[in-house]
Amino acid sequence: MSITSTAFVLCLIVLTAIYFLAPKGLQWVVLLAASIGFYAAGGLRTLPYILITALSAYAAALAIGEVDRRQKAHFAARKELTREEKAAVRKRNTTRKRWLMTAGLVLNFGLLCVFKYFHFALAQWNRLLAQMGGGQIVDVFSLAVPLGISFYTFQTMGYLIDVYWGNVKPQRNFFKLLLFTSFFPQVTQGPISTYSQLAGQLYEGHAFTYENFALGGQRMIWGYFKKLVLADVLAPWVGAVFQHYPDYTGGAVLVGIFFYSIRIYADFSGYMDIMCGFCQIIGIRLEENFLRPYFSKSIAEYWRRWHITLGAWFKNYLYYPIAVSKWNTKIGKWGRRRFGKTFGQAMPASIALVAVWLTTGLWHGASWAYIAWGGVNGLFIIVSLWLEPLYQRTRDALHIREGAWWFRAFQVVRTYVLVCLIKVLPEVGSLRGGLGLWRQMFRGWGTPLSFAALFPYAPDRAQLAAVALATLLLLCTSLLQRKMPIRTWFNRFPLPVRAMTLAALLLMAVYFGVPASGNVGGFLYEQF
Amino acid sequence: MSNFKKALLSTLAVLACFALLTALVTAPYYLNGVYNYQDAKVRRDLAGEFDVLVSGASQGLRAIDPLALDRALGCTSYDLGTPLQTMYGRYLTLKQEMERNPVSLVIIELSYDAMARDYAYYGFEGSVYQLGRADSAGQWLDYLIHQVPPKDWVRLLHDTLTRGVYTWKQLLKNGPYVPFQYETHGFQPGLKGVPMPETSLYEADYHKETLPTNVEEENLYYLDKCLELCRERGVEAVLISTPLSEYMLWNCDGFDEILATHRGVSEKWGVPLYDFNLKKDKLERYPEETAYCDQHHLCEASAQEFPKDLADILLRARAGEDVSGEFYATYDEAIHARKAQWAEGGTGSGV
Repeated sequence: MSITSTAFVLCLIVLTAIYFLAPKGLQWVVLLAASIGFYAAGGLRTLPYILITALSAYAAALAIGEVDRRQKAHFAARKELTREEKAAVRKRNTTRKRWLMTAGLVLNFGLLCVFKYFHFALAQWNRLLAQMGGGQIVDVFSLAVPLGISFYTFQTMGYLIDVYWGNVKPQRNFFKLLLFTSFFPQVTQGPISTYSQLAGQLYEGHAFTYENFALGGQRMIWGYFKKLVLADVLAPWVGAVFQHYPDYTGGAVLVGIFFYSIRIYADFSGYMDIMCGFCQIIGIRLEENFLRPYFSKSIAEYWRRWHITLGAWFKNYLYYPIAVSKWNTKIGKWGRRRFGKTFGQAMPASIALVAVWLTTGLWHGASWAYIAWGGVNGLFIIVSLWLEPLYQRTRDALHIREGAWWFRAFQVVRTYVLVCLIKVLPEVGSLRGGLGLWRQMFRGWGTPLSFAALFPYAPDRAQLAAVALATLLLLCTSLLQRKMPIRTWFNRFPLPVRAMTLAALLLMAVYFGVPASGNVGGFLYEQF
Repeated sequence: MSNFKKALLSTLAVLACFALLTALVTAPYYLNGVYNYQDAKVRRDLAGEFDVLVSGASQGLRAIDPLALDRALGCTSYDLGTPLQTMYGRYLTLKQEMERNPVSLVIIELSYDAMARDYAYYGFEGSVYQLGRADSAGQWLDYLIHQVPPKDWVRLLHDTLTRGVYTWKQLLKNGPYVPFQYETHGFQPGLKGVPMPETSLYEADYHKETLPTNVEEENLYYLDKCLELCRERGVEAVLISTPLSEYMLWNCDGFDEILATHRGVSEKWGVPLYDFNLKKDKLERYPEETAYCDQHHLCEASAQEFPKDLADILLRARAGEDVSGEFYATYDEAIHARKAQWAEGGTGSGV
């Protein structure tokens, strides 16, 4: 069911009514039923896989909890044990818990890999065989990728790892864990929540409050506006550039890249606004996934502001475990002794970053283009890490105050340009296509700049004006948000002003968005 | 005030503002009559004048200039035709006009897809036109709930907004506009004739396309309702099919099945059916080079000629003459008889 369809909005209204009419102790059951229903509506065939994820995480977490419980009981019963004996018991139990966690991770990430990467892996294997003169393995498998598998797998495995680390207690009610795994506002595009942040909110009852209703409703309308007026209107223009870039001037390609940056932000953050807005109405706060990312001053900062929860997941469950692992720490110490402090600090971080960024690239898509995309992002971050002392010395030598407005503006523009260029690399269908798009940016500048040269796909002028206005509105709200929470500011205005503003946004969403929504098959991040 | 009441008040405020903005955008479209087929105001103003009504889809709308029919038949007629109009839409409009006019004759135009048409075929576009002709909020709502599924309501709103914006642009450019239907009585003029495909293509393209010959139950039901309405009020009813391009008669398979369906209705209700595609002088009266604006519709000039043809048949039938001799019995017979005429050097096709 499309999130921008009338049917979905009506379902949300009905669900909200049922949620608040239900006894507080059963509200989570209402959410579970809605989540399973939403997931099943996407295809019953793939429902078993999300159940497998929930069940395996449930069993593994309970088993880990049982090991802890027995250890505690054992120590309580055997007070005469020496410290060494207790350490030995702890070590054995830690190994057992690690095996349980690993089994859960292997099963679920294994499933994820099969669904997402099987065809890619087979294609690479066949290429290798072809180069060695061997025969080809025919790809006869048709695998329907379960909806949101990347998101719910990460979220649930995060829970399992947290149980292993002792950060959270295992959930004894399978259905409650199933709700955490399948919660429909986040199952297709995130945000990827931690168990400690979300679970309590899911299971506890919530009373209806006007504040939540107003703020959540406003956010939903803003999300629909972004999605329908910006993202869906830009979609065919961006698509035209990516498909026909060899025939377009460099100016048209640059405009297309700029439009893509707006499109993907409006699409992804629009979805977040719609779902976070709905969750706020029912009293649940999802984690934010965006924090004005295009105002970042570096690539590293950008990835702390874009798809925040994915970055946090990788940071917590991949980066830190690698960065602080014994072998990596040894490398750092060796590096510090041989090459100095900078090397000693940057090397372990760089190793962890390589792992994170190659995985991030793969998470986004099974193709060399996405791997390259992840690699380029990681490269920029790693190089910045290594060159930071040099940058600092340069700024000091040139007496550049880091907080100076012009310097910050330069950093923001530089980062935005880099981000836009890196973003489009995997979007043209292949790495070769992405590189071709980059090359085309520098061509065709001999043609006089005209509307036709910059917009060869002949966009409707009224839609172009709407996109310009909506982008300006987006920029203004982003700038305002730096100073104050924008919705709180907005709520200071009298009801007629607020109502008229929201009505105008809705009207624009209908007028510009309805024909445009036929251009796209949903949301961009649903494909992950 | 309780949380719920405040939330309700806020929601109503937003909806009220939305309705206000929508009304502002679409007001000229509903009030000013710039939209071609929106003629409710004209029909309301002229109510009580019409004794002949023409009910049809776009074929009926294009083929009959009511003023030409008035001169030929000695009546005062109004063309209720609308593109993609469903039988339900026809029934609603016919019922309304028969209640406020001294109608003595209803001419029901049946195109080749009049019985097969369904929502999947005509989409919501036909509904947009029909809704534009609604005379009151009640009629508008009735049609909306009956014919337009909820999944298309937002599309409908969007389409109406688009027409409103277009109307505003026209107003700002040209000033207020008086619906031309005051002069044309529903007729939509302005389409010039264009040459149809040459006869050399007829054999090559024979029955390459297939027309839908299914009968949607709802269409049959409301056609019956239209005829029942006529019978109850003692109004004479006539079923007609307007001329189509001769090329289309060759190119498309299924005309005779559709004719059989129309004849079934004609026999059931005892009303005459005149299919002008079977008329023996069709090619002379409606030359392929000049008579059509596209394969499905007569042009403006033919809309002056066809009413004379129609009136001639109606008057002769009224006088008790057997006019069946003017028509071939089937499409197959018609096209092959005309082919034989060409072979003998007969004219009419311009070849």
